[in-house]
Amino acid sequence: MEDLMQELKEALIEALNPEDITPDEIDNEAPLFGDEGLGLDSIDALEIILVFERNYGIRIANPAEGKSIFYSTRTLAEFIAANRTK
Amino acid sequence: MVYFVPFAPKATRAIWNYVRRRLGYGRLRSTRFLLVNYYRLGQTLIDKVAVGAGMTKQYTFDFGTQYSDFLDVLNGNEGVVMIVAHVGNWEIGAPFFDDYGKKMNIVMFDAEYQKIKELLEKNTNGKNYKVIPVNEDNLTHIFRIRDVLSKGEYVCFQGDRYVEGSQVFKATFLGKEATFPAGPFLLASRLGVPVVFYFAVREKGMRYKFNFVLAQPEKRVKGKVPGEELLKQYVSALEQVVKQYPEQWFNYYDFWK
Repeated sequence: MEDLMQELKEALIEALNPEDITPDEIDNEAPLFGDEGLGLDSIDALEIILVFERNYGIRIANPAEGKSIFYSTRTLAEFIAANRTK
Repeated sequence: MVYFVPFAPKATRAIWNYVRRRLGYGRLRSTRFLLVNYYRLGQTLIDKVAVGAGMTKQYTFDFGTQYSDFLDVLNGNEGVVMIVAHVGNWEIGAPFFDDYGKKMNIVMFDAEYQKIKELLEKNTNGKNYKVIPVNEDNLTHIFRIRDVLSKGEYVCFQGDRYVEGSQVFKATFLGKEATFPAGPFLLASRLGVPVVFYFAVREKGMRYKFNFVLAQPEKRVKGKVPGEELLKQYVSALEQVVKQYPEQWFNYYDFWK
């Protein structure tokens, strides 16, 4: 799980291109969206969806679940671990 | 029709500014234009209800000479993003896309959606298109957009209305800088499906003409904001339609402030 989270953070930084952030600076538990935590926006959410599809072969079938899956780096990694097809 | 002029002062002022300053018409011609514009609006509203109720046979529809080029795109397995405008009557196309087995999903701000929800349901039986409401602090719409696209459906954005407080782009439109919403263009440039600018305008008789313009995919360039290039293409397509059908511009707020 730790490895997956590290890999995921690297993929996110590449996709989202935030300024001067290293993977180590992203707290696994911190909220990704909203004012607290990383403060990502809806365009960033789309980039993460594309990372899910491209890197892990995952489509989120139930849009209503999306927000809870995308809560933090840890929730993302847990969902990937349980659903990845590649 | 005349009802609108005194009773919708804000809308009337916006259209007055549009016709006087952007189209450069004189006062007399502008006054006439105002009446024609409201008349056309009434007409398209009636058409919307009629077509929504399944009365498509009374109308003729012209898909233009380039339509065959779009059929491949429109019939493809992947979804399509359509960016529309408050010009003419885009809703008129929904039943046709439905005939191809493609549902149209219109992305709409939640506040706006709540206002017209009842009206939509009453008039169209909710049959012809679905609404994806956007809630500012909710991400659900992003998941829904991606989900319907992966099912090969169409996602439709209004490209010419922004909400105060949301991210915007500036572009020169009809000779003066105007404000556009950034969201639809940012998203469309990143969704990885074909983007089509689509406008349906009313012609003489009960006839609609469909205009489709396939956008050039935007390359991602470092340091350049994604979506801006797409907006330029949209503005140029929109300008062409507005210049040809100036009285079908139904965007009742001051675009160029």
